[in-house]
Amino acid sequence: MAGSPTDERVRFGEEDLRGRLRRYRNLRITEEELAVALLTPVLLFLLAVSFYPIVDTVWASLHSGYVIQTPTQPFEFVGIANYEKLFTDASFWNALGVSLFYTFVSVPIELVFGLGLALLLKSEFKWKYLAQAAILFPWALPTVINAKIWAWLLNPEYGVISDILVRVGILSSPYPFLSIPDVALYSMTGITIWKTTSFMALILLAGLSSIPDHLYESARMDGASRWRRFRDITLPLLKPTILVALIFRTLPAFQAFGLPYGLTGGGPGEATTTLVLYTQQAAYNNPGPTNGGFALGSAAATVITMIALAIALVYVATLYDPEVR
Amino acid sequence: MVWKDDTVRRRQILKGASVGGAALIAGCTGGNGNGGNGNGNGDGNGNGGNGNGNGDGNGDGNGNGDGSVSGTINFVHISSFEPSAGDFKEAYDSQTGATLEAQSTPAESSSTREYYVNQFAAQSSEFDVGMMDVVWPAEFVNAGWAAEVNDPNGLTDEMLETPVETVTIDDSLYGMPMFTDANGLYYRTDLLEEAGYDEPPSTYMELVNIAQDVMEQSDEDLNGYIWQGGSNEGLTIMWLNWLWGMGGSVHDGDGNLVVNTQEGVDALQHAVDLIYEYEITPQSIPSSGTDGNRQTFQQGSTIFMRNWPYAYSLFQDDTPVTDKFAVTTMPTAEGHEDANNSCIGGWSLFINNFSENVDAAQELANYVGTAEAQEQLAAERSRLPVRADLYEDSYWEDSDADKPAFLDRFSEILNRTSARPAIPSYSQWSNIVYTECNNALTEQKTPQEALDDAQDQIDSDINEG
Repeated sequence: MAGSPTDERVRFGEEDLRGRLRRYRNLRITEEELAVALLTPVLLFLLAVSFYPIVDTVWASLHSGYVIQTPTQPFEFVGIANYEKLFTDASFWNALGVSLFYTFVSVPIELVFGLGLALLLKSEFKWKYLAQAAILFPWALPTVINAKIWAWLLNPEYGVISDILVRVGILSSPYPFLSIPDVALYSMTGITIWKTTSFMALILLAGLSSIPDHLYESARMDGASRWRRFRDITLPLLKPTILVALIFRTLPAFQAFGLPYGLTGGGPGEATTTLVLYTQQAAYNNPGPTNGGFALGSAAATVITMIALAIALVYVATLYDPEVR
Repeated sequence: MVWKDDTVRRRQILKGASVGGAALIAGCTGGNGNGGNGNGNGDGNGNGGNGNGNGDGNGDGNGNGDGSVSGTINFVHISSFEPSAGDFKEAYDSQTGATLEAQSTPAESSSTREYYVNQFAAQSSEFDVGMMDVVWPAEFVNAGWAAEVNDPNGLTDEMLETPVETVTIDDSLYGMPMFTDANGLYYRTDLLEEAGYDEPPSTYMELVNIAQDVMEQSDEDLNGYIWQGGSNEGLTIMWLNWLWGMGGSVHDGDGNLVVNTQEGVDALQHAVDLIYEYEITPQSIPSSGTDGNRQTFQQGSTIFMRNWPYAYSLFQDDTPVTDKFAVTTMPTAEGHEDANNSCIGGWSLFINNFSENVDAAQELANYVGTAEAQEQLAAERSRLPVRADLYEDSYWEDSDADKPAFLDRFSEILNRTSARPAIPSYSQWSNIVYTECNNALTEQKTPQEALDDAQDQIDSDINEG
C-alpha cells in the first residue's frame, strides 16, 4: 500500500487534487491497485481466449492421437512429426502458393485503388457523405454471403455476368469462370479487391483527414506541384496509416477462408485452396485417431501464425518511422 | 420403453398425435409432458395428462417396468429435414414425457459433420440425438462419439438390409435408420420422344449418343448430361458410380483401398470425355454441386441429370419440367448390364455419447423406425423409407394414404446400389478422391496421373494406418 495522501500530492500535482483524494479515500485503494483491478479481467480474458488457444494449438501440433479429446482419450508426444508431414505435403505448398498469390496481388491493388478512392472522397462534392457510405457496402457484406452472390453471378448457366458478356458480344458462349483453375483464382482475387478496396479507402481517408491543410497551403505558396505535394506531404504523413491499412488487409487476406469456402470450396482441384482452407480441411477430414487430422491442422495453423507474424514484422520494420507523429 | 404400436392402429398415431391414440400411449409409458419429475424412476405411473391436453392414459399394457422419460432432448437435423423434424416433435412430445427441441445444421452433409466434430471435440452434451449420414458411423463409433442404440422392439428386423448394415459395427447397432437414398438418372421424356427415343439409355455410350442426337436435333441450346463434378462428396459418388458400372471396386481384397485400377482410370476418363470429347456435359460441371444441378435441370434446358430422390418431389410443383421428366436406373458400362450402378445414401438417427439424457434420446430412436414414422416420411416428405414392407403394394392397401409414385421407381434403383467404403477415415479418403478427380476434370492432370497421386496419398495416410 503505497498511497498516503502526501504521496498522492507529489504524484498528481496540485490541480484537481482535492477531488481525487476524496475519491480515493472513499474507495480506500491506490492508483496502482485500481489499475490492477481494472486490467486483471481484461488480461484474464485475453489469456483465456487468445493465449490459451495458441498454446493449446502448439501443444496439439506436437502430439498425435485424440489431441482434441484430451485427457479422456489417448494421445502421444511425436515431436515435429506433424510438421514433417506438413512440409512434405504437396497440397500444403500449393495452398501456400495460392495464399501468397491471393495476398500479394490483391493487397497492392487494393492499396492503389483505395488511395485513389480516398483522395476522391476527400475532395468536396455534393453527395460526399452518401458516397462515403455507399462505397462501404461491399465491405459490409458478410464474406460468405458475398462469396455465394459471386458464385451465382459467375455461374455460366444462370449467372448474369456470362449472360451480359454474351449479349454484348464479348463472349460467344457462357464462360465457366469458376471451373478453369487459373481463372477461378483470378476471379477470387478480383472479388476480394472489389470487396475490400473500400475498407482500405476508409482507413486511408481517416489518415488523409488528419494531415493539416496549412502544409498544403504553404507548399502551394512555395510553388510545389500537385505531384510534389502528394509525394512530399501526403505520402510521408500517410505512412503510419498505410502501415496500419496494409497490416489490416494483408493478414486477413493471408488468412482468407470464407471467400474460397463459399465461392469454390477450394476447387477446381486445389486451385483456390488457401492456407486456412487447407488447414480446415486437414483438421476436419479426419479428426479421428488414425491420422490425427487435428494435430496436422494445428501444425498448419501454427505455421500460418508464424508467417503472419513475420509479414507484420516486415511491414513494421520497413514502414514504421518514429519521427512521424 | 415401448411404443405400443401393436396395441394401437398405426394410423391412429399418424393422424391423431394430439388425440386419443397418443394419450393412450402416453399413459402406457407414464408420460409427464411437463418434464418436471426428474429422471425415470420406475413403472409408468398411469397418469398421462400433460400440457398438450391429452387425456389420462390407463397405465396398463406395460408390464416390463420401464421408467418414464422426461426433460428435453435436442435433435440436430440437416436443414432440408426441417418438415420431418416438426412431424417428429409433434409425435414425440405427445407420446413421451419429454420434449423434443429441433435444431438445424446447413443442408450440406460436410458442414453438418463439422458441427458434430466441434461438439464432440468439446465433449458437448448440447445435443442428444442427431442425423448421421451413411458414411459416418465407422468414424463416429471408432472415436467413441456415437452411443449404442437399443432396438427393444425389433424395428431393424423389418428393415432393408443395407441401411441396417451401415449402422451396425461389430454386431452392435449405433444408429436407427431413418430413410435411405439412391441416385437415379433423371431424363426429359418429352425431349427424348421428340427425337424418336422411347426408352432411356441403359449404357454409358447409349446415353452419350442419345444426348448428342437430341442436342443436335434441338433448336435450343441444351445441356446433354449434368452431374456432380465439383470438388466435393458428390464427385466421389459420381466416380464410384462409373467405376461400379464398369464392374470395378475400390477394395483390393487385402483390406486396402485402391483407386488407380484400370476401371478407376477408365471411369474418370469417361467423365473427362463427357466434357471435352463428347461435349454433352458443360464445362461448368467441375464446379457444380447437387442442388445447383437440380436448379439447372428444373429450368428445362437439360436432357439428363444424375440426382437423388429429393429432386423428384421438388419437380412436382409447377416447374418447367413438371410432367416432362422421369427417373430410371443409372446406366452401366457396355457389357456390365447387371453391375450395381447407384450409390446408397441415407441418414440414420444416432445418440450423442456425451448426452445426459440418453433414455429420452433412445425414445426418439424407437419412434423413427416405426411404420407410422416411416409412412409419414414416405407419403408426406418424399423420403425413401427403410422399412421393407412400405415398398409393397399390400401395405398401402391398408393405409389411408396412397402409395407415393416415386417408391416404385426408386425401389428398383435401390436394388442396384453399392456402398461407399465403411472406414473411419472415409472423409479423408473421399477428400483425396474428389480433389484428384476434379484435377482431371479440369485437365490439370490426366486421369491416370490424378488417380496415381490419389493412391500415393491413400497409401501413406489411410492404408498404412
